[in-house]
Amino acid sequence: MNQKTFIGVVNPVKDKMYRLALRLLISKDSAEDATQEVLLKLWSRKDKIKDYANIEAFAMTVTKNYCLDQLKSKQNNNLKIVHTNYESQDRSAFDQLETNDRLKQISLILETLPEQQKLIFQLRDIEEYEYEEISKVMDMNETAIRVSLSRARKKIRIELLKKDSYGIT
Amino acid sequence: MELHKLESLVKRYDDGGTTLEEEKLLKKYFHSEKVPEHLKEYEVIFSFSEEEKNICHPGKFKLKSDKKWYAIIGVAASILIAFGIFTFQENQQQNFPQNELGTIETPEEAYFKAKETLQMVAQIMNNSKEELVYLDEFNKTKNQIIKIK
Repeated sequence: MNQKTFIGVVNPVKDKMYRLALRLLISKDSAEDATQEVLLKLWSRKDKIKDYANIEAFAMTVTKNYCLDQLKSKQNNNLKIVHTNYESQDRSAFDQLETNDRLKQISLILETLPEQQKLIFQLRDIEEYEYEEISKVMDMNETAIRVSLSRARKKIRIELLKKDSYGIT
Repeated sequence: MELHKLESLVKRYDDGGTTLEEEKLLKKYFHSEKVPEHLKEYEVIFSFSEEEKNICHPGKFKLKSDKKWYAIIGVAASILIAFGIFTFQENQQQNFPQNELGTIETPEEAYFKAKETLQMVAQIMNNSKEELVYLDEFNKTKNQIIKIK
């Protein structure tokens, strides 16, 4: 596989990898670095790539593992990025009803979810993967994925409702 | 879409029971139609999913990392420099004894050479000492001001 075909194969997945990394790592720079690193990893293993039936699922799995590793090492270094300072933002009166702010709220709620739920929500609701593909990436069975996804969806909605009622009172 | 159908679909969505097609249908519905008040938050959730899908990886990625090359070049350069310094120093050490020393062979010759050199040094010293006479002038003036004797 030469460079051109590799880029051709990887290009459609690149954005998805970036979004997944962004969901987990939050910082745009780290997400970009992560994507770059994973692509290099894939490139160095390009000869084996043919053996993997579904390159996209494989690329996503590698990205997921890489980001989780990154988070782990950050925790070990006491450099964990904590975005808990968002509470004060939504006190402001009517602006928060703007859609943009609401969308931001969701990403903030998503940040509070456990990694597994973040990943599954990202893969299903944003990238629109089939459960079968998700189970490959996550290395989980479909039932467990559905349960986790359901928890994530409900949590997001409940948190959103909570924020709304705080806004009104 | 009728309300009861929508509600059951949303319920199944919450439980993780919808298929991709149904979810696409929901996204389309919440994107385009007037949403009942009690389902407002789904509108936000679905538009969030749609928005997030548009995020793209910025710029191009590089397949060959430059960092590796920088490292290799750096190591090569430092080896060259270290090597250069060593050979330079070694050359200097070798040049010195060869050209400047070891030309005198007999002890007598060495003795005379040394004597000659010392004589020359002594002569230069004496010459310079004569120049010091001028210092007396300073002393005279000094003695006029400060009378020690």
